[in-house]
Amino acid sequence: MAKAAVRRRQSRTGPYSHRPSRTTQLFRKPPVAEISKRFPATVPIEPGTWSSRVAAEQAVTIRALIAQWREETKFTSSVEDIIFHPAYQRVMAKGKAALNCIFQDLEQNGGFWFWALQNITEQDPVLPEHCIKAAKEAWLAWGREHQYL
Amino acid sequence: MGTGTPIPLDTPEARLIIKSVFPGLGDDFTISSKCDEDYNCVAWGFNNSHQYWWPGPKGSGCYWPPGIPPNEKLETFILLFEDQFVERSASREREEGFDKVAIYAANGKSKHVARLWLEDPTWMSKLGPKQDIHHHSLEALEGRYYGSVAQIMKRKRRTRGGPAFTFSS
Repeated sequence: MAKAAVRRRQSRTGPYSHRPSRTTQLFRKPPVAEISKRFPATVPIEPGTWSSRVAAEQAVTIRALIAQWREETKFTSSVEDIIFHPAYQRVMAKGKAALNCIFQDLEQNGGFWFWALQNITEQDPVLPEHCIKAAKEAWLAWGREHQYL
Repeated sequence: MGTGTPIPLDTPEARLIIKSVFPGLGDDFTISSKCDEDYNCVAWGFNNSHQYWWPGPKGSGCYWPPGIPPNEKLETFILLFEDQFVERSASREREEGFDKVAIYAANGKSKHVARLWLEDPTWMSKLGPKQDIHHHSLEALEGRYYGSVAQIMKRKRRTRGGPAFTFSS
C-alpha cells in the first residue's frame, strides 16, 4: 500500500507531470475558431427531421419576440430604448439562428436591426455617411449576398 | 402607381392605435403624415424630414451633430436646441414672433420633442418612426412613453411671416 502511494505521488510530480494527461487531451475544450471550422454556421436542415422541427419552433419564438418588440417600441425615438428592449435582446441572444427572421423583418418593416446584426455577424456594411434608409439597404444587400434572404 | 387616389392618413384604425398608447389625446388630434422611419421627432423639431436625429451607435444610420455629446441626457438635448433656439422658456403658450420646441424626458433622459411653429395651428409631433400628428396640448402625450415635458425652448422668428427656420446639418 505504501509503495503504491509513493508511486502515485511520483507520477503526479514526475518529469512528465507538466504534460496534459491523455484524458485531458481527449476532453479538452477546442478553441472557438476550431469549433466554427468543424461546425459551419449554416448547416442544411433536412425537412421532416427533428432538427427542422426545432428550427421551426425557434422561428415561431423569434417572430413572437419581434412582434412584442415592435408593439412595445412602435412610437419610440430613443435608439437606446429600442435596442435594449428585453425582447430585442432575447432575439439577439438566439445568434445566427435568428438571422433569417431578422432579415425578413428588416425587409418588410425596417427598424433598428443594425445592432443585432452587427453583434451576431460581427460585420458592419454601413458607412458613416449612411442614413437610415441607406443603412437598411446595405444590410439587406449583405443578407442577400450571404443567402439569408 | 403614384398617380392614383392618395392613401388616407387619418384613418379610424390609425387613430385607434395612437389613442391606445396616448389616451390623453382623446379625439383632439389629427394625423398629418404616413409612417416614415427616415426621420424622427428631433429632426422634425428642426423642420428636417430626411434624417433620424438621435445619438445612435456607429452603423445605426442616425445623425447627431458633431460637438454635441452623444448621449440622451436632457441637458444634452437642451444644448442641441440652444445652438439654434438660443433661449429657454417657461411658457407653453404661443408667443407672437416665436417658434417653440418642447422636450419630453423621463428620469433625466430625453424621450420626445414636439414643435410649435408660428404658422402651425397646434403642436406637432413625429411619433418615433410612425406618423406626424397635430395636438392641442403638450400634456396629451405625457405618460409612460415620453415621460413629461421637461423644457420649453423658444427662438425668435427672424422674418415675420417667412418660412420656418431650418437647421443646416
